[in-house]
Amino acid sequence: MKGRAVLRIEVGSSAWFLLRDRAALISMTFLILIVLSAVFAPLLTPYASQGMGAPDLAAKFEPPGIEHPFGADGLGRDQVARLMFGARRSLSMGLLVVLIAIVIGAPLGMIAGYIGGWIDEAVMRVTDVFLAFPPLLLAIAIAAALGASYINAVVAIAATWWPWYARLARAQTLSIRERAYIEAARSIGVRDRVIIRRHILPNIMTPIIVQGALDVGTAILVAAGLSFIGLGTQAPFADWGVMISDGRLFFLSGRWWMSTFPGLAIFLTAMAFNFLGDGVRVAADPRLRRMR
Amino acid sequence: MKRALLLILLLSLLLAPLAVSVAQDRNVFVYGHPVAFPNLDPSSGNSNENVVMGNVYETLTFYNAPGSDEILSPKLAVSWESSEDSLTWTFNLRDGVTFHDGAAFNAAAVKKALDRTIAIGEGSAWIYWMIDSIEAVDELVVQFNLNTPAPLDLVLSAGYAAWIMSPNAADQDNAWFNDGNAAGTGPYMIASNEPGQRMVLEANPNYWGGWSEGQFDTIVFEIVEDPTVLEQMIRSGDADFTYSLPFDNYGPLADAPGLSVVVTPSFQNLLILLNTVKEPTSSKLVRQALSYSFPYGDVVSSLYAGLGTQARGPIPANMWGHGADLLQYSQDLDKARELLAEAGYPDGGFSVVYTHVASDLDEQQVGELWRASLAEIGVDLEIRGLAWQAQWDLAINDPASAQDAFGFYWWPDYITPNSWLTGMFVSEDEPFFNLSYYSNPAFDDLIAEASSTSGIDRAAAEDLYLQAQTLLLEDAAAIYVVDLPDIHVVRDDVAGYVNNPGYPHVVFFYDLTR
Repeated sequence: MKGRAVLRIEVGSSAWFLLRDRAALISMTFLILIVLSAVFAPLLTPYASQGMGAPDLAAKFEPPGIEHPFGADGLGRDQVARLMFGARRSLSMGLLVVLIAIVIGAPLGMIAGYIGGWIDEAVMRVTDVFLAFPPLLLAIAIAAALGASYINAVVAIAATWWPWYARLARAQTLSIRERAYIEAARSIGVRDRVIIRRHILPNIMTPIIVQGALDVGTAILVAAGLSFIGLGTQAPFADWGVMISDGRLFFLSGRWWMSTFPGLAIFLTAMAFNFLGDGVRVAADPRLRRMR
Repeated sequence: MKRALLLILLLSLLLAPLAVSVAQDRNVFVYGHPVAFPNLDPSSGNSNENVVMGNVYETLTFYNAPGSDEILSPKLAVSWESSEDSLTWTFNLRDGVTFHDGAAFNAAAVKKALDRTIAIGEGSAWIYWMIDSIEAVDELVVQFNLNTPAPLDLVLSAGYAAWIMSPNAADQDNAWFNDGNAAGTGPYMIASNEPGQRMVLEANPNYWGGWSEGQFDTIVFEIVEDPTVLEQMIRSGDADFTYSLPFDNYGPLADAPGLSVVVTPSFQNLLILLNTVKEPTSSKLVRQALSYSFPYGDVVSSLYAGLGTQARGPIPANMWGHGADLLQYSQDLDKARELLAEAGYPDGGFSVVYTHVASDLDEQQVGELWRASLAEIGVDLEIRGLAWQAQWDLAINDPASAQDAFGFYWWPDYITPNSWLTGMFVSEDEPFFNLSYYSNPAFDDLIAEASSTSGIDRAAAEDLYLQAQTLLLEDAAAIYVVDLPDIHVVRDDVAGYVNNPGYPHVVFFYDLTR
């Protein structure tokens, strides 16, 4: 019981410190706005059908103006609506990748670190194999082999991402494994499975969550990269990478708005996740907190 | 100090392109080419390497650009005649021509070159299906014996598989050619080849046509797959010629200083082949409904920026065998609904898979526009972008599980209506390019009769081709989207450029000056 109470105080004060970090606060506000606009896109834009791909040729290549603040694309679709609906895919790709990577990587890392021996060897050598390739290149290869689609792109990127979490989880587990309370639990006959779940998992979650928050932005960037080369979201739907890719063809002929706004969206979102992740890291670590 | 360095760096970056263009030799022509050259073998190559072949090798006869007085003009043959029954053809060859490797051009060389192409039998070699034998009758007279009457002079003007290579080269294998070796009679010789990157041609000083002031000494093909980079190159003057840019960009390019945009009708068209084997498109009524659902007007006027024309049947308007009175579908959603109801799909309620080449934005947007129209009649269109090979594999493996609609470009090997009709619609045991899997014995008979008649009596053949197309259009085996133009962007200071759609995207550099 006492442990729970301490934890709650800890989480509460971490949140408090996070809110005092101005960059993290601004980033969080920005991300909340982006997420809300993605979730409630159909209610927020009069061009919901265009966001999902319906053309309106009368507005073909309309430059930014009152009707279309971010302009219209080659099929006359409102870029604001495209961005909002695109956010659904881009953000969810980033979040899903990190989530899948944690769900696969963390348990493997914990098991490897806690049990050690040949299981540890095997898991670590497999992560070595994955880490031996440049991540983007490996993701491209996997996505190309699976066939171009939104889900396959997520799977492909996640497949290159989980080894990082496996390593992180293993390293944390190794240090915790030697603590006295683990020894105590083991001596009264608590089973390994329970020790991993109840005693190790909660103690390694902080670094993993921090790493996850930092990674979402990068994952969005990589996902946009796959979509940019045609291996992600498929027409008539779009994500930000697809929008940049389509728009770049018309950049030189004066339709600058087509790639510029999705480019800004990715830039700002990736940066916001970075600030937020940094903020979480500082807030979650009492030692760093004191240094501020 | 740091700032000054930065300034110098920036200035040098700005001035670098300037320095390069000043240093550029006035006699170099740069062709910004969007794809690599897959097969440099003049016998079997039947793809984009034709832009090299057309300058390094020559054909016996030359197909003139439409609008010329004559259909053909002499090239390596100076004159030719056929027997009454069109079964024996005699070509008199040009005197005093030598190959790049020094070998003499004569009847034996022609025989050896074409025999090699026929023996290899790949690519476009099928165009010689009617040849029984080739005889070197005299030093400069070659005779062709046919088993079926055919317009052989036209066949020998083909932009693929009709190139004459030197007897020494004819002994070589495919790998030799693809190492960048060549020996033709053309005005240019391959100087260097970096596959997928760059190819350089140098003028052949001994060319039989002779040389005059202002012609280009050096030709560089820069292979650049990204259209944005190609556009950058042609705008900045780093390239003198390019094509395959997005249709919407040609307007702004025509307004750009120093550039001309040359638009000419081509022999290429875009079709959507409908699967005639698989439910629900196996129903003729459904296919007709899909044909009536297609937004032809929007696609032609908006997507192709008004530069193409709506197709009427498979054969483009500038090709004989095109019927101005044939059935042309137009968008009529009420009619489409009626047809669907008649076919047993009163509110649509099915989905159609449309595949296209993933990198082709035009084909993709054709799908996006069509999807919006289909949604109005209750049909869902799933748009799937694939690599060309994957798209084709999906189509030929098993028609019953293939895509329902296949975005497909066609252009002829040699300039005959037969190419479209035989290539895409005559029954095939194993699917190859008949990707509608269309099979209609009456149609097949008409085409067979027409192709053997075309060598003797073109008017009769034309009538048969029209009858065959009437059947085809009634059956709605495909949606005929657009007859495409050739659109080429050329620097203004290049004189003499005329597009010849008979040789797609080939620039005959010998005709140009600066």
